[in-house]
Amino acid sequence: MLRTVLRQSIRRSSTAAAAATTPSDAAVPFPVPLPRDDVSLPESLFRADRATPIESRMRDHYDRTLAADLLYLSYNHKDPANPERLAHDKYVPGLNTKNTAFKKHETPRYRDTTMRKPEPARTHSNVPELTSIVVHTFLKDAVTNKYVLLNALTQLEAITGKHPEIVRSTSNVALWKLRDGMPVGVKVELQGDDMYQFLDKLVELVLPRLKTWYGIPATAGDGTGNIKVGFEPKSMSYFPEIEQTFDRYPFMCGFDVVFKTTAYNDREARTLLSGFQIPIENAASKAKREKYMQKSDEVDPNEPAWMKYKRAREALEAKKKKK
Amino acid sequence: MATAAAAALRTATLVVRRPLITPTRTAFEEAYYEYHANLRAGHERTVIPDFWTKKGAAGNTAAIQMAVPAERTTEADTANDVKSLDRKLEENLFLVVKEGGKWSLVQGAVAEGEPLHEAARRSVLDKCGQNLDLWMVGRSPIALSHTTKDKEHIFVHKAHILAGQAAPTKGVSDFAWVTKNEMAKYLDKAAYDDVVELL
Repeated sequence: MLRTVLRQSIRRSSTAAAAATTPSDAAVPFPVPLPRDDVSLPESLFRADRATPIESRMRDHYDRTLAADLLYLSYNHKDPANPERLAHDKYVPGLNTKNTAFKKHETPRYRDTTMRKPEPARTHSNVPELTSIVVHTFLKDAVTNKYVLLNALTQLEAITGKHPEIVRSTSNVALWKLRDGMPVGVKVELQGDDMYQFLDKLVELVLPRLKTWYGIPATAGDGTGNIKVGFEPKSMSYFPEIEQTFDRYPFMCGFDVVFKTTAYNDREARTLLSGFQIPIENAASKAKREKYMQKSDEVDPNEPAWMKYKRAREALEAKKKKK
Repeated sequence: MATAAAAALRTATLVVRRPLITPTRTAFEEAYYEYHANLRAGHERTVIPDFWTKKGAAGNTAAIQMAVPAERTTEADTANDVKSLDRKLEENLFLVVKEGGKWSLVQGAVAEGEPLHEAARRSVLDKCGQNLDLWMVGRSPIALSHTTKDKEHIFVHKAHILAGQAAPTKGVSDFAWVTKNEMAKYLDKAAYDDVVELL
């Protein structure tokens, strides 16, 4: 600070000396520059792009209970002193074996997962974690009338608390009158405590009220730890923010929720979501549920005659309705 | 196959009742969250009612009834009932049992050919009654106990209690659900040092 002040005073004195010797009609710069100091203004303490710290019981649950259990469930017990010989250690012609970065152009079989470098080992500081939730809506009607996106924008902003961004098309499909750059969707990405707040609302208020959704399928996941769940338009009205102001919206939008995690595979991702009380459905649980609700298609051989006739009549009516 | 000369396999189960309420906030934490709540409120986009509702239309002005949260300390806390599962709601509670005059985690032998995690689960139900809804955390043990005699390997498994209560049977004279800090009072030093890192 002192050095700059000294430097500036030297410059000023030199220019003053120069001005004293230059002719009187020397041009004065316009506009006159204001004197500046080295103090910069403080940054705004409110950052709209960052998650606000909020007391979040989902985050507390993860930190105190889930993280430890997930370490036990995802830990690799094989002896680290003697790691398995992985396929990528094998000699591949044309591959620089000293290059551990595995750049794409140097690994002709990059798509083969066995040729990739192994992921870091699971430790107490590296457990599967939920990093972000992306809530996304795609509206087909936006192709003809882009103002329907306003409705989706306000709804997503209401349920997430964060202003969404418009998603534009990247392809041209003449059949659907879709062109590149056309706004067709809305998305918002939540992280940190905002994400846990949304997850809490989803799990406590929305999911229990869904009548035809019984859990994330056991085959769900993109293979790298991210899972997407789709919701029909009716689900939007189960959020408290929408429910209270239902009449203000012209229509409800269906939406996707993408759970992005640091899980290495589908199994870890589903285990993580299951820890947050999101049900996972497989064939066994579906069978159990249907048995409980007695909706199986099996015919009881000892059923009374009136039941048999009733089912036959219902089948006939359903057939007529289909026609 | 475990022969007479080979080491005997035993399991110990760390049965946990997870915290049921959020942790108590310190004064600094409360101030921190309040500060950020005010900051957020000051920058919030306000709703303009006239934009959304027609003039003269009856607005929905019903006051929202906020739920009143329950007490953070229960009767079990005031009475310090160590057998109760409703005590110390914001902490983990671990099951310790008294067998042969000594307090320890629930231990049991492993039958021949029986998987370790199944043996752990079975030993808890045999010793503490069938009225326990347990969830084993995976199939792998979480620790190998070092306070063993020469010929004994005790593998520790973790389980969560989801419902029910312990009803000691078969050689178990007493039980208690204790927090991490209280565990030292029940287990002897060697056993406590063995288990403290798992809590």
